[in-house]
Amino acid sequence: MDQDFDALIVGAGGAGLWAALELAQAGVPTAVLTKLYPTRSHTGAAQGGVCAALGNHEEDHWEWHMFDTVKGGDYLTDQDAAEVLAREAIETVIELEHMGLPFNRTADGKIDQRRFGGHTRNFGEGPVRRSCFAADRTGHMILQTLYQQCIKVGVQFFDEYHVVDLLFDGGEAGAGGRAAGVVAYRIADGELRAFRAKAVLLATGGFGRMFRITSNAWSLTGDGVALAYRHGVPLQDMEFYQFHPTGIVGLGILLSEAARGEGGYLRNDSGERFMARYAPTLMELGPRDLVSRAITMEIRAGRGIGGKDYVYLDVTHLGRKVIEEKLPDITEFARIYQGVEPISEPVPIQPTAHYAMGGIPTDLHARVIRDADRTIVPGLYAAGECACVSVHGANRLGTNSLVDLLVFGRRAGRQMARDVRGVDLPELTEDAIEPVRAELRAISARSSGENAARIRSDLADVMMDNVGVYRTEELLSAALPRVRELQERYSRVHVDDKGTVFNTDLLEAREVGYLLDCAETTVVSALARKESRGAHAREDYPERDDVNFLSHTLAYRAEGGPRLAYKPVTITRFEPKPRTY
Amino acid sequence: MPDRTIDLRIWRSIGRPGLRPHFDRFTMPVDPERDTLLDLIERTWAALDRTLVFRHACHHASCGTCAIRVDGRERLPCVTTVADVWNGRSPLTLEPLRNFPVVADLAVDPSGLLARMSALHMPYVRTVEPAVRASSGVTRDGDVGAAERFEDCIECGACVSACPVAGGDPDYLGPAVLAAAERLIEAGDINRAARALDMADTDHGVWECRSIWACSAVCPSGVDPAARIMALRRAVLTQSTQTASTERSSEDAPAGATP
Repeated sequence: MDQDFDALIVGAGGAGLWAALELAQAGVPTAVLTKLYPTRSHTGAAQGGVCAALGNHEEDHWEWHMFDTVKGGDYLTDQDAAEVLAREAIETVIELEHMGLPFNRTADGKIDQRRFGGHTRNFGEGPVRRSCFAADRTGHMILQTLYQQCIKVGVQFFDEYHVVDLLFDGGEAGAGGRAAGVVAYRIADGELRAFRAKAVLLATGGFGRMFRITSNAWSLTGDGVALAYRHGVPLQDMEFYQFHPTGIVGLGILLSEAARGEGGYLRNDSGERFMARYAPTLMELGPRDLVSRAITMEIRAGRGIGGKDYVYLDVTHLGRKVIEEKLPDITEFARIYQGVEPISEPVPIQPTAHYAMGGIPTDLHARVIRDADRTIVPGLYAAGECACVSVHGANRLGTNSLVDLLVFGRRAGRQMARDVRGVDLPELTEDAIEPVRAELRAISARSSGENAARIRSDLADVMMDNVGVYRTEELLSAALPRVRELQERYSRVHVDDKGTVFNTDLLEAREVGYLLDCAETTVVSALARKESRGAHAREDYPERDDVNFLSHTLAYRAEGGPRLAYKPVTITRFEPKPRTY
Repeated sequence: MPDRTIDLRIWRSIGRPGLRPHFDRFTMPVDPERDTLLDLIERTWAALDRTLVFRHACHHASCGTCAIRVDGRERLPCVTTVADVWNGRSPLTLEPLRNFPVVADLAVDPSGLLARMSALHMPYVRTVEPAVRASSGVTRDGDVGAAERFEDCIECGACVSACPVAGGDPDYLGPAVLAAAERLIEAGDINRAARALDMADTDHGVWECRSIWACSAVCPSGVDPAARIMALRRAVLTQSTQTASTERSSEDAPAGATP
């Protein structure tokens, strides 16, 4: 073996970094592998904030945060997980403050907090100021703070090491095997290297790049999710994919919910604040699934701006001071990409593919589970967007992605540190890297075939057009054979670049395969869920159906396409109720 | 599909055996108001030349990955529209950043800069700042304060590329790192400030800067490294006159002690 560590972290976003920090502080030899440089990770793009019931401005309680998370998730949220999230949000924010994260402050020196969609006081009575923030660069600050802490405690980083396979000892993950390490492709020179470890954390983020219009970075291709799936771990709740209401038209780049948290309005062609008809209490601060559907309905009814496929985000009434101080990035984006001056003009926006609620199923300690009985895959962990605990259920609330990766990244690191004590390194054979080497060589060896960029582009079109904000049997049934056809084309994917130096052609070919796995499980899971819940809105089944579908989907890899099973939702405090805002 | 086209001259460089450095020319359809330079590069790669090497990740200026030179000036292509830089006729010349080792084509190796930024645990590892300093960076009169600006550094390397001094001396700490050092001093932690001053007060530190201000001109995040280097000089001089008489006693103090 090339290299042994006690713990390996795949991905250097917030979840991976916090886990690494915990491990290194506990004295566990730890390495982080990332296909980027750590500070380029997508956590850095998070704008709005991180919710924690600190109550710095007004009364707030973690129970309220928990309730909002459960209701926001349309009761598909596992409530034991939501309780952990809401309770530990408070500790993690304070810990970050002590690490030196420069939060915005109130006049008397406390962490400043602002409103965010779906976060309410007293179980839904009205908006509450819960989101802690550093201007609209909260994610950037979190990433930098955690990275520097990791450097300080001696975490070893392998930058631009693209993890292309997972290794198991004693059988596949789905058949009782234990995680034994990873295989990484060094982008600089194309060398494949095996890393052995007692514990492996997948923290690879989401897979928004399977959609045409997305807020996600180019790098978000579902690597960890697809690799776990290929080794027998089922994927949970893949049909729940969040569309963020306010993306820049055509590009998908996000204008943070902070704009509405600070008081921004949504207006249709006639200038009407149309959210009054969809969420009379919370208005623009309704949860994202609801706001995205409202925008889509307005556009369909011909009330988009000039009859086109967008509406306006209007912050002009907030004044220059608030806009420039609290929403500087958003303001820049509107100026740069749209040539719009938000201080004096409304900004054209449309929903953009943003966040995967589903992913690799885990327990409350970030341990990967492989069936409805919650059987643990020894040595394998997942945290952050690639994981599905499930704290977000059918729809994630704004800021809860950062809360999730902080809380469960920290938990993952602590659990791994406990689990590696007194355990021997797993057995790995010398030929462990051969399967993936053969796969990569097969791609490079083809002298002609399909271009990966075209497959990716065609996939993004199918997913956007057929598996978007609203779905029907017809749309989904049409999507499935198209995804399968793309899989068939993918079996003939070929690269023009036969070199070893920074071969982005080959890496994209690898990544498109991951996206196809994510897309297929998404479509199959969505077809089977004949109800509307959270982000999964079926026009042919417009009601939530708690009798038949108050359960998590598990999609297993199988011959001829994913096989589905279901797992009950954990309900502790809040019985499912109709969801109105 | 837009009906206009643009010619791109893209630097192709060593990194692959047998390839001599040269420019390749690509003609691409373009909507100048709408397309960013990164869109164009990505489409060129997707459609015309799969061997083209470039870096990119977030596509909206949050990650700092994609910086290159466009007609000789450092830019983040993800936030630069074609209309921002194109006269509508001439080809656009795209080259990798200067003063970094080139990996291939438009991709440079930023690891030296990133390692320098990390080596001193700068700038984010520090204890809590006094609230009166408004660590939000927003001062009471509503300006985005100096403290905020450094934290906007996305380590893209544009300033290092633009700096003629960095080109002449690979050991020069360079604008991004010196700006980070100045930020440590501003944050007010005495132990860290002392380390930052020691680091800055060398032949490869603040005294090597020639006050050209190219770094500040190209910074896409408004960090203004040149102004910070000037402030850092002042801090070094102030400290050296103040501490000359107390140097011996501070050396005797136990590690980590704060007066």
